[in-house]
Amino acid sequence: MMANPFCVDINILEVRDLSVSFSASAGPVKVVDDISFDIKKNEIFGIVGESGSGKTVTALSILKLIDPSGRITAGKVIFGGMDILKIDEERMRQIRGARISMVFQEPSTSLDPVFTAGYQIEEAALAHGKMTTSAAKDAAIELLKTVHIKDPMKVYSSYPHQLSGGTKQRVSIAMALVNSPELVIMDEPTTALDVTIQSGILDLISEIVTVKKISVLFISHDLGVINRMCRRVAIMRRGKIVESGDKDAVLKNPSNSYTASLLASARALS
Amino acid sequence: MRDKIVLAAAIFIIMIIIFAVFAPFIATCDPSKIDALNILASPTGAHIFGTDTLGRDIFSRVVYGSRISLVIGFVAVGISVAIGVIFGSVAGYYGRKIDYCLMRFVDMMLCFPTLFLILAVVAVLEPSIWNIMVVIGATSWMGVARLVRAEILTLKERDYVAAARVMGASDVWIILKHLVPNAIGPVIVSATLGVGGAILVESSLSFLGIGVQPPTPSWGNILMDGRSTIGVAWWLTVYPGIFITLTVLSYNILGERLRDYFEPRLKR
Repeated sequence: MMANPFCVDINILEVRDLSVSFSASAGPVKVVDDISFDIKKNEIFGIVGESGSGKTVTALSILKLIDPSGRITAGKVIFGGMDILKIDEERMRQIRGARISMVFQEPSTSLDPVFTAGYQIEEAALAHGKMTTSAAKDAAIELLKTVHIKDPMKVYSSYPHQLSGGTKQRVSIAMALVNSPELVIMDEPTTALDVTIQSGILDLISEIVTVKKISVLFISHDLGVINRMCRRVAIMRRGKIVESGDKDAVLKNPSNSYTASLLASARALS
Repeated sequence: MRDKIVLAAAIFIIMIIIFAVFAPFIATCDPSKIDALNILASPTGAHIFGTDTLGRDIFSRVVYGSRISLVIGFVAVGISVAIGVIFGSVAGYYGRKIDYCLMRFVDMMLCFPTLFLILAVVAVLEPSIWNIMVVIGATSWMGVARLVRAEILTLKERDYVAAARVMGASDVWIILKHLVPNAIGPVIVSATLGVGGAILVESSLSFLGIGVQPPTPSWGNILMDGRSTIGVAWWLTVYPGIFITLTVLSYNILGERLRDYFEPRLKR
């Protein structure tokens, strides 16, 4: 049976010619330099690159949350039929968390230590005023089950320091999903975790993408993880996308020398 | 041993709070009842702390005076914490020009000799309890502001703040829900130490005659009443003096203990 090509080919996010500069003492530094990519509905799109290559800044630009010293100098980010770089802060806040959300690298710092895990998931739901308190609680517990937490009631009322790294990252993922977003940005979601835990989280992410029909922008420096998760990838270096396209084409037959050297270093380790 | 001292300090503060709340039941006499036949009576069974130059019972006056000290201590610190937290969190969170302006204002406030500023304000306005509380609060918030600012400068870089922003939280929400609750430990320590300080300032003002006005008893003005007769009637100065000293000491001990609790790395 043929899959409906339109179903997968709808672009949920289009980034066109995006450039971001940061002001430094020696003048502006271009951190993201004229990059373009698309994320399709219900896919995991990967961005790989070494540290400082501009991966995270790209992700934060999509949410318009780069540091005050940085500025988006050119380009478009088309989401939901509009260029979100042009809309005002108030409308942007309604998109953040509700339609585009994010999972961070370090689960031990991305949860607030003074509130329980359950409260933080609820807070994310209540912040957009779409749910009542009791509905938010039900949604939080339901999501803790969705992310395969064994004892959801116990985790619901636990503080972050009482939870393991893997569980915390599952809670973070639950938080990102609470408003049923269309796109979730995952910035190195497994880098801070043990390899065994990592594998479980990666399985969870794949499962959620299938079940919840969301799209994911998956950022990593780990080619192995990217290879496992994504079908299409972009390789970033020094703010530029040096190569992008189908994973198999890019990773098996790199046309760019940097991609080749990246692959060579990964092979040398394994 | 240290825990015993802390316990003693806590018990003393609880005792003062009980004094303040149940003053009418604890005081043995009406604190402003003048008894011309019993002037400067030394401590006895009827007047356990003795009487003053007007024959008023010192114990009752000290008990009622604890109300003033406590109310001034808590309200003044409440005001100073409120101003300090607002200034510190806004300066720390927004940074840059706002931070610069607010912190230079703090520096300016710190340059005033506080006691003289209070004297000037009280000289212009009338020296009511309310005015004194507001003035003490309004001249003691700078430490809290600096403390909160420093905390928030580090806290705002945490991922959970970024996470809240990504989830669509507003600045006010982030400050109130994520930054202030995480910065509250040092503020509680500073507030506890501040209560002792405020009580001391109130006593000094009352002693100078520009604080709580007679006949309302406060520890400071009981002390002032006893100043002229210290040679013949030591009990007028010693008892309120002991209460002032022990109360301030107790708040300081408690504050130190709380600091150890919130910042265990600094523990001696």
